[in-house]
Amino acid sequence: MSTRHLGERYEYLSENRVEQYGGDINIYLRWEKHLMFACPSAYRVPTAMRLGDFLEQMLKPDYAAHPDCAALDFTRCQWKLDKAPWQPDFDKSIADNGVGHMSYIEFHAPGLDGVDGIGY
Amino acid sequence: MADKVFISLQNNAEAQPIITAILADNPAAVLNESPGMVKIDCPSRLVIRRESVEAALGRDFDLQELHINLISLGGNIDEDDDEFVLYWRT
Amino acid sequence: MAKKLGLKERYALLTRGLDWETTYQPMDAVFPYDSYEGIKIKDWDGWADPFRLTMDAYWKYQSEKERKLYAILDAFQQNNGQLNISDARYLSAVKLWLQGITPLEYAAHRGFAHAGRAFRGAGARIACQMQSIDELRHAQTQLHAFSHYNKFFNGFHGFAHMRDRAWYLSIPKSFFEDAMTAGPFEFVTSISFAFEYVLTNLLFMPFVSGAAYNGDMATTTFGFSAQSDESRHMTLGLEVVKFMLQQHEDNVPIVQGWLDKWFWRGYRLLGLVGTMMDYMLPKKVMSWAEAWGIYWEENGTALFHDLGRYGIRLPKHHEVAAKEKQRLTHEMWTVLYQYGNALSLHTWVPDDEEIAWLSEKYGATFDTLYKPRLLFLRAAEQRGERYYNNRLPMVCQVCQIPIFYTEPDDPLTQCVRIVEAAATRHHCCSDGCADIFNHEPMKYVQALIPPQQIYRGEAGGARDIFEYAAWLHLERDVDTGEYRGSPDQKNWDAWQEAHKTKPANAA
Repeated sequence: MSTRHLGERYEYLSENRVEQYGGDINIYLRWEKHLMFACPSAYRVPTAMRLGDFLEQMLKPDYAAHPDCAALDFTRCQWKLDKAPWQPDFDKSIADNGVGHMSYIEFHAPGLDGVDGIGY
Repeated sequence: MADKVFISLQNNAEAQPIITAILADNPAAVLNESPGMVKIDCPSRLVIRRESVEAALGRDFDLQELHINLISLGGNIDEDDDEFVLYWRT
Repeated sequence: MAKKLGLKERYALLTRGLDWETTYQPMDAVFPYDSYEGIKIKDWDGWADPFRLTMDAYWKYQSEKERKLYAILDAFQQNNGQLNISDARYLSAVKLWLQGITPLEYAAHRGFAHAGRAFRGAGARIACQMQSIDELRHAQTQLHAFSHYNKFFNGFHGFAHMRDRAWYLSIPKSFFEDAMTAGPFEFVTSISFAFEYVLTNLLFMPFVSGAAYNGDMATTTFGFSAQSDESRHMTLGLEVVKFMLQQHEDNVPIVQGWLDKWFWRGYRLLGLVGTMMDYMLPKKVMSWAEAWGIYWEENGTALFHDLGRYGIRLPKHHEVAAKEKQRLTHEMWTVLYQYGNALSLHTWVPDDEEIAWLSEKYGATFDTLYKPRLLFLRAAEQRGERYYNNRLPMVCQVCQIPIFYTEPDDPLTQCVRIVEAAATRHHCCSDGCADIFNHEPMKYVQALIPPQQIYRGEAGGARDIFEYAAWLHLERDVDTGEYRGSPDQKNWDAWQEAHKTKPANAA
């Protein structure tokens, strides 16, 4: 489908295209069953960054307020990338793990089901 | 059950004669009061008659004066100099 | 003396035959906008305002409304009406109105001026003219009413500056800009019908009644005064929809598509109003779920039954709204609570009495899923660890709301839909928003999404939520953040104490 319009054409580039990020990308992550973080989190990251470094240095501090955070072990989590099952390699870079601009990562930590086990 | 039309008016002294006239002319109408306002629901059709409002008010009344204290309504409208009608066609 | 003309004759004289067919230029060149959307009109005289309001009556009754309104606003200001509200927490709702809704009134003023120019039928042009003037009046009266609160409370100062910058104000702003950049028929359908007829009753009736219950004479008065205009607008909305449907059967699928789209966009926007009702009013009148039941499920669906004769059905995804009504406001409030460092209003955990009210209204869903969250947040605050989430969120590409909604059948999993256009992935909060995106992808890839703007360096160079709040001209923990301990709360408590011991106006 397309927008009805006056004039010759109605075509635009995405305002958030990867070229706007100077070599970095914009990615999103969600920790399942932890709705204390109401929304998936947004990051701007260098694609060459080691995935494990990103998770430990950028992601984990954001979850520090949650009582489950101390027990969070990324190596024991189940992962999805853009809604498909995914096996990340923490030693490789973000790009080499197949994570692209506007990718959406979800992870589930078995045994950690949020405050009072109610997914919060 | 028939769908309900409604009219909502400010709950002030000016609107009281209008509310009185509506309730008298529409036996199926139900008055719901909330802070500051009233909402009158009625199955299918509700009529406001100029003559009834004038009788309750004790002076001439132009049905368009309704606008001053009207809050909201639901239904198709048919208005002339003598009647203001709200109705559904279902 | 000639007999006075009747209402129908007066209206006919105003709207029939006063216009003319252009001769220097073809009509289609003078009015290019009213045909490109695909709406076919055989006879513009089929358009009628059922109120049959003529210009003289319009000015007469509008000036009467203004006189009443300003007499009350004067009394409110002279008598320190700000001291008579239920609690200063209430003002978070008023701040959200000023920041989020008042600019929409002004946008509607502009939009209807444009639509009035775009239609070639005289009846439609006059209806749009009146509405354009009404909307300007609403923006002005709201600013006048709120300006009094600005003298005493924080967070009112930057509404115009923030309109183009703040993440939570891009939600209402993008709603109206989507409508204003459509053609005139879609614009009037979106605003007059979907927004005003179907949805604004929820804002102006239970919420404004709530303002009355919370002692806010200023908001009650302009709110009901504005809504009396809205009842005319709603009627216009219904008439324009009936007019399009009656003119040509080819119009039916186009109109249905607009009703689907604008029902969903309007519903998403109104989540903010529901949250005002359930969480920001210290004294509560009616829950969001109850209001949705009355104003949408009863009154809104009655309207769609009436339109069934033209082949119109209920808007798509209305059943999702029904599933969300028990959880929407609880989810939304915790979003506002955690991103409170970038809001020009205060948030808090409800007190025990309010939690009991929420339990009564929302039952087991609230008690099992949401009450424990509020108690957890309260305990954290009491330990001195008031919770804030300072990481920027994922945002819906269409409604621009941070993606916090949960799956319709699973209240523990956020609902994310991935859509793709212009060689770039985007995210939507629901099937409703994904449908809208996929119908017009080239429109929505242009959206400015606040967290993305920040990461692209387009928000004054802000690198985190605190620099971003400063770019919004917000002072941390004065305009933003927790209510308890805020300057607003301390001032309020001091004034209440003084009010008890001194005569009014002696402060």
